[in-house]
Parts: sequence; C-alpha cells; structure tokens
Amino acid sequence: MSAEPTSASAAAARPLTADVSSGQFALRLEGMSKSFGAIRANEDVTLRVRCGAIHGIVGENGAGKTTLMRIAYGFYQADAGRIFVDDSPVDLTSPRVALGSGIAMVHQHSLLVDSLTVTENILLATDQPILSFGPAQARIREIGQQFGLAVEPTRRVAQLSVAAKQRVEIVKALYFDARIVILDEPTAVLTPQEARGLFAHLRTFAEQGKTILIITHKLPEVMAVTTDVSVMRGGHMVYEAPTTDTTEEVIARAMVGRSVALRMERDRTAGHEAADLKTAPETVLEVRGLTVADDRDVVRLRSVDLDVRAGEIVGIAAVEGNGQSELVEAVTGLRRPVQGTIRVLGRDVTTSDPRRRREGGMRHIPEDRLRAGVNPTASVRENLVCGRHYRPPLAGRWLMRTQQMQRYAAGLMERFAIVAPDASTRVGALSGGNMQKVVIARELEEGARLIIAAQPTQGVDIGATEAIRNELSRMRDEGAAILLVSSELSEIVDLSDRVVVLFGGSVAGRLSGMEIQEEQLGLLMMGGGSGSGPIDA
Amino acid sequence: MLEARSWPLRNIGTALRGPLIAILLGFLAAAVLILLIGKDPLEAAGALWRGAFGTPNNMAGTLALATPLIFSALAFAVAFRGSMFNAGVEGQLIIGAFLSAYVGFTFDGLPAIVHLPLMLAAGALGGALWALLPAIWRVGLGANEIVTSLMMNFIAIALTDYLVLYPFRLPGQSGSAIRTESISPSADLPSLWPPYNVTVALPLGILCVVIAWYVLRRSVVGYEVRMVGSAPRFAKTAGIPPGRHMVGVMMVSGALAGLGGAAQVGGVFNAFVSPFATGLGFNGVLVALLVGNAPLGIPFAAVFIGALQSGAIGMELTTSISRYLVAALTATIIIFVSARQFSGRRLPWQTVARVRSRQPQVEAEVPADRRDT
Repeated sequence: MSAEPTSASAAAARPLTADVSSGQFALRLEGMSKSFGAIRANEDVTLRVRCGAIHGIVGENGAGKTTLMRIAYGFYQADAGRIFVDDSPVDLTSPRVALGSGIAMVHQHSLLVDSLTVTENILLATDQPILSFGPAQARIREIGQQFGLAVEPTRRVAQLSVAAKQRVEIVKALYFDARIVILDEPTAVLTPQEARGLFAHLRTFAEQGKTILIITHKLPEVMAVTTDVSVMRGGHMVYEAPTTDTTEEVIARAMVGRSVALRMERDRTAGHEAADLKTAPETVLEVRGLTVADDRDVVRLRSVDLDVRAGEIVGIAAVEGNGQSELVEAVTGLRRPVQGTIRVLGRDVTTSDPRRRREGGMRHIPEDRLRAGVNPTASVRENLVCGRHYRPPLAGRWLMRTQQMQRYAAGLMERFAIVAPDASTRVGALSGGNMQKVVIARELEEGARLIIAAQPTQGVDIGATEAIRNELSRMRDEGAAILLVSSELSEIVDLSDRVVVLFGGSVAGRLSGMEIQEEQLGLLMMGGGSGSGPIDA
Repeated sequence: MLEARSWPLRNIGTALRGPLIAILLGFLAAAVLILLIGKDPLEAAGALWRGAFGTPNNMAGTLALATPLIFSALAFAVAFRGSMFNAGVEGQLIIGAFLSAYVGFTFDGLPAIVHLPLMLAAGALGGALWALLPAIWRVGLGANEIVTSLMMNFIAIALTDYLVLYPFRLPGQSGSAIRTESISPSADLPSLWPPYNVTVALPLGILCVVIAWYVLRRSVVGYEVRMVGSAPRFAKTAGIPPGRHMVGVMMVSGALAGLGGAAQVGGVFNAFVSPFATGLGFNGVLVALLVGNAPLGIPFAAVFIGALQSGAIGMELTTSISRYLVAALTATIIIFVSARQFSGRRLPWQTVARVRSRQPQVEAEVPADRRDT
C-alpha cells in the first residue's frame, strides 16, 4: 500500500481569510506531520483557532482529524510542527501537560468510572492530595451554575444518562480551567434534543471566552453551531472558512475532493439497471418498516423500506453509526427488530434464526472480521466449513467427515487464492486480506441467493480488495442479490446499481444509475440536501 | 491447541510440554524453599516419591486420590471449552454424590448390574441439574455463571448438611463427620485392586476423557461447542446457537462432576458423609488448568496431583517437612502454568511461532483515496 496521496496538490492549507486572522489565536498548530509506519496521517497540517471560536473540524473517516486532535491534547506527539497556545510555544508531551496548558479533550465515549460519583471522577485527574470532597463539590456546582450545566456532584456516574455523562466530562474540563475544549463527535451518542442542549452550552462557553474545537461528520451541525470550519482530507488541511461564508455543498465537495469525484468512469453496465427496471426480476430481499434498537434500547433504525432484487447490488451509504450496522444485524438475524418485516424470496424471516436464514440462501460477510467473520484460533479448514459443517457431504448425522472437509477446504483455498501453508493453519496467522478471503470463500461458495456484505474490503490490501470486488460483481452477474454496506464511497459508487443513503437511522435518499455520484452521496450522508426523492420502494 | 493433530499421542505430547516445564520450575522453587528452612531437598523429594509410589498401599492411595480429580477436572475443562467457566464443580459433585448415595441405600436388593449404573446415573443427573440453573441464568438473564455457580456450591454444601443431619440422619452418631446409612453392596463399585480403593471408576473416568476428546474433536456438536467457546460472535453469525450449547456443556460438565461424586460414594465412603468433598472440585480446576483444559492431558495431571497429595502425607511422616509445602509447590506450578494461559503471552520455553507484526492501530484511519492507489 502506497501512502502517496492522490491529491498532492491539496497539500498546502488555504490561507486564512482576513476575518479569521484578525482575531487572536487561542491555539495554533503549525505544520503538523504525523506518520504511523508508512501511513502519513497528518502532513504539514496547519490549524489556527480563534479565541472564543467554535471551530468545526470535518472530514471523512481516515482524513486525519482524530490524529490532529490527539496531537492537540498531548496524546500523540507530532513528528514535525509546532504548537502555540495564546501565541506561546508549548510542548505537549502528555494529556496532563496539555491540560496544564488549558487544553482538554471530551471523548466520544465516556471514560468515566461508573461506580464512582461525579466528584470522585473529576478528582481522579488531579495530582493534588484530596482532603475533602466538600470544596470540590462546591466548585462543581459553581461551574454548573456559571455555564448552565446541570450536574449533581454526589450522583454516581452509573445512574447518569449518556448526555449527563458528557456534561460531566465537560465540567471536568472546566474544573481544571481548560480554556480550549476539544469534543470528538459529541453528538454521535446523543438524541437530537440532547444535541441541541449541548450546542446551547457550547455557545455559552464561547461567549464566556472559552474556545471550542469540535470534530464532526455532520454538516448540519457544522452550519448550526460552528463559527469557523476546517476540512481535512487525506491527511491534509484542504479548506478553511468562517462558517457564515460557506455552504454545506462547498464543505461536502472539499471533504470528498474533486479528484476523487472525477474518478467515477466505471463500467456501469448499460444493461443492468435498465433491464432490472423493465423486466423486474425477482425481489430477493424485501424489508418493510424496519425499526431496530441497539443494546441500550435506543432506536437506531427507523421505518426503513428496502428491496434488493436478483442480479443487483444495492449499496447502503452512511457514516458510521447511522443505523447501517443495525440494519445488517436485523436482516441477518443477529438482532430482533422492534418493528417491521423482513422477507427473503417471499418468505417472512423476521423471527428466524441465522441458521434458518442461511439455509434459505442468505450469506453474511460481517463487518467485524476478527470476531464475527472468522474464528482466529481455529484452522482455515474449520473456518471454511462453518455453516455447512453439520450437513452432508461434510458431516454425517453425528460426526464430521475429516477427509471431505479437507478436500472441500483445499478446493476453496485454491479457487479463492487463499495464501496459507495448508488448511490446518490458524486463521489468526493469516494476513487481513487472506482472512477476508476465507470469509468470502465460505460465504460465496454455492447456493448464495442473497449476500449481505458489510465493509467487505475494509483494511484489506489492494490485491485482495480487487479480488473481493470482482467476486461480488461476478455473484451479481450470476443472479445473486447483494446488499453492500460500505463506508468507502468509492466502493459504493463503483459496485452499486442502486444506493440507499441512511442518515440518523432513516433513509435520507435513494439514487440509481448515473445519479450515483460521490459528491451527492456525501452530502446526503451528512444529512444535507434533500436527495432526489424516492426512486423505488 | 484447538484442533488436534493427526493422532492422539502427539496431541498428548503437545498438551503436556508446557506443563512439564512449569512443574520443573515449581519443583525448583520448592527446593529453594526447603533449602531456606535448612532441610535437604533431595531427602524431601525421596520421601515424596516414596509416599506417592513407594509401596502398593501408597500407589493405590495415589490412584484413589486421582480418580475423582479426573472427573472434576474433565467437568471443568468441558465447560471451559464451551465458553462457560464452571466454578461450581464442587457443588455439582456434592449433589451428585448425595443423590447417588440415596439411590445406593434406598433401592436395596437390586442386582448390581442394575443398581450400579442406576447409582452412577443418579449422580450424573444430580450434578447436571445443579449445573443447569447457572447455565439458564447465564443464557436467559445474562447472569455471570462464575458467580452463580460458585454460590451454588455453598447451597449444595448447606443443603446436603441439612439432609444428612435431619431427614437422613443415622442414629447414634456424634462428632464432626456425619454420614448417612451405608449403600447396599450391590451399589458398591468393584475394586480393581483389592483390598485398595482403586475401583472401576478409574477406567470409567479415563473412558469419559477419551469420549470427551473424541466428541470435541470429531463430532458436529463438538465442533460447534469449540466454535462457541473460542469465538462466540463468529459462531452466532455463522448460525450456531450459542445459548443452547452453553446450557449443553454446563449440563455435561455437571453430569461429569456428579459422576465424580458417585465414584467417591461407591468407591471410597460407601455412604454420603458430611463434609464430603473438601476441595475435590477446586483441585479438579487445578488439574484442568495444568493441562490447558485439554481432555487427554487430564488423567496424567490428575495422577500427578494425586501423587503429590498422597506423597505429602508420607513426606510428613518420614521427614520433618510439613505437607503444606506441597500446597505451596502446587500453587507455584499453577502460577507458572496460568501465567502463560491468562497473559496470553508465550513464555520462553514455548515454541516461538512466527512473530506476526501487528497492524498499526491507525489502519482504520487510512484515507480511502490512499488505499486505492
């Protein structure tokens, strides 16, 4: 894998507008670079944050924004570049040092200790001896009043809602006199109402002289709450502007990048969608009114209708956490939906277990390869037979047929070019690409009518990616119905005949044929635009 | 370790290599301990050996001590392979023992050919039922089976104490050890080596070990149990129902523990005595840990632990070294063994497999447009 960015021209950050540079900077990151092995996560990135600003950092997964923020709060040390707080150079060697300089991080997932009280949690970060909780509690109440953050210092964290935990994290930052607070996708875990409450708090902080940095995927939030916005792509800072001077469309284009959008000349086989719509081949998967909740009973997918017909690939485009995982789990039988029906080839499978669905021709390439896709401690052979292991020819009534298993596994290894010393090799010893080929081989071999492929090429090298995409295309051409969930827009664009965009658990748009463009998808995925309306049920 | 090699002997060798070195290190540590108190380690080792194997009587004692350990260790190992941590082997063994004793003294006059299997079956049934509750709680309610099965031990002890003290009390007893009436001779497990307590339970235990090994390795159910045990989400995704297998392995585990209890009743005590199984269940866990829960290693490890216990008594009689030294030795060995198992790290003596460089954590952060170039 080469780390050379395709968009080298985008290397230099755009100079700041006069409006922005006129203010005083609370935080300046000048020319930050950070590599992990061959991967350059940040390259010569410059970020200037005005005092009292609410500064949004946006970008796709892997654009480098998390790395940049980790540098800013001292978790990572940059390979090159200088950091200034209030125009004085600082050396942020650890999060504690950063906190000493007034920079605090509020993580997406609460890092609080559930069994301790709010006060105890906040004092965990102190290096002062604790003589009594009284003064700290008084201080926490005072901060709460000053900034309008309702937090009861004596409550146990376990009893708090997710939003309240987040408030505690923010209070914690304020308790240690942080002047610059970084929030990593703070609304990802919140309901829309809670998110609005958070935005109100953020505005209060800014008015009181605090500076906020907020990482987000969601363009409406950027427009709603930020004063400035910076866009990262491929490890570079590609765009900066005061929010009032820009639009969702401009930001979306900056995030996706023109060079990527132009690369879409694909063999969108003329025959496919046209033929599909006319002759209307068999509907293999039919999802109606599907509502799914996560483990905490929070509804993650709301009344989604979806069809996948034989011989087509339907892409699900969504930013992580917008309901696509729950959709996959419900369709494959790993999660019982709250409402709605799932039919496969006309048969209602809403309550069937995964084995019944598999026997009906459903196959699943799971997102979490290491835990759900393969059993890393078992051999290649044992992994390849799973799902067929209990039926002839691989097994009799009670016993497995070792020789048949070996022959079957060896056949698949050859056909799918799985590189391993032999079928007895532990799957955990294989490369990521070969591991995924084991999954693909197991799932696509024989009898697949409906394939649910979740992030099929994530973390897989180029060669294997190519092989996997070809295999999916071939299955489609042979008449399988494929539901493809991917956070890689290029994959969705290249493979899908139709695309359904999910945002916040609902269908944000449906595109087909030549409408499938990264820019449009990106905009819909961020909750922007209105889409082109439903094209088909 | 998950998939056995082509033949059993090689499998045993693989399973025992790690533990053997841990044992060696344990003995070295014990030798240092003995030197520190100014005694002769070689003399102690000799006394230990003679106590374990020196006379037919001692050798029989070793085997008699090893027999219930085979059952309790196999019980733990089977559950463990199916992702269940059965901390309640002791309680299941006790309940099984009581039920088998009840069958043993109640159905007087049955022919041995009927009575013996019936008694053993009662033991297995009692253990299985006692293990069923924590399994159901785990699968149905998500209650941690380690805690619930451990707590069930205390209930088992208290319940059988009550039963022996009141409903099934044998009149005219006093003192700390209380027993039910004796089982009828037809339920008495035949000795293989009269007059010693080495009964048919020993080959029965070994048979169970071989069956467990074969079932785990070759059968469809065994395959599914191993998949559930080593990768539960993988199993579920592939259509193997984890809950059913969790309950299944716990019941088999409990049944094996109960068989161990029945073997003690039919082979050693000829009655249910209270207190019954002081540590048989927990020592079984030690045996299983020693061989990394590989069934075929269990008989060897059981004989080893049995020999240590039997030898300790002899050592204390003939030297001035306390038998508790053996407890320290056992503990040291377990520490050496489990250091490997629980840290997941390989210790120097283990085969150095190919060192796979781990992907850097930022893999997920690689931008899409870079991955394609």
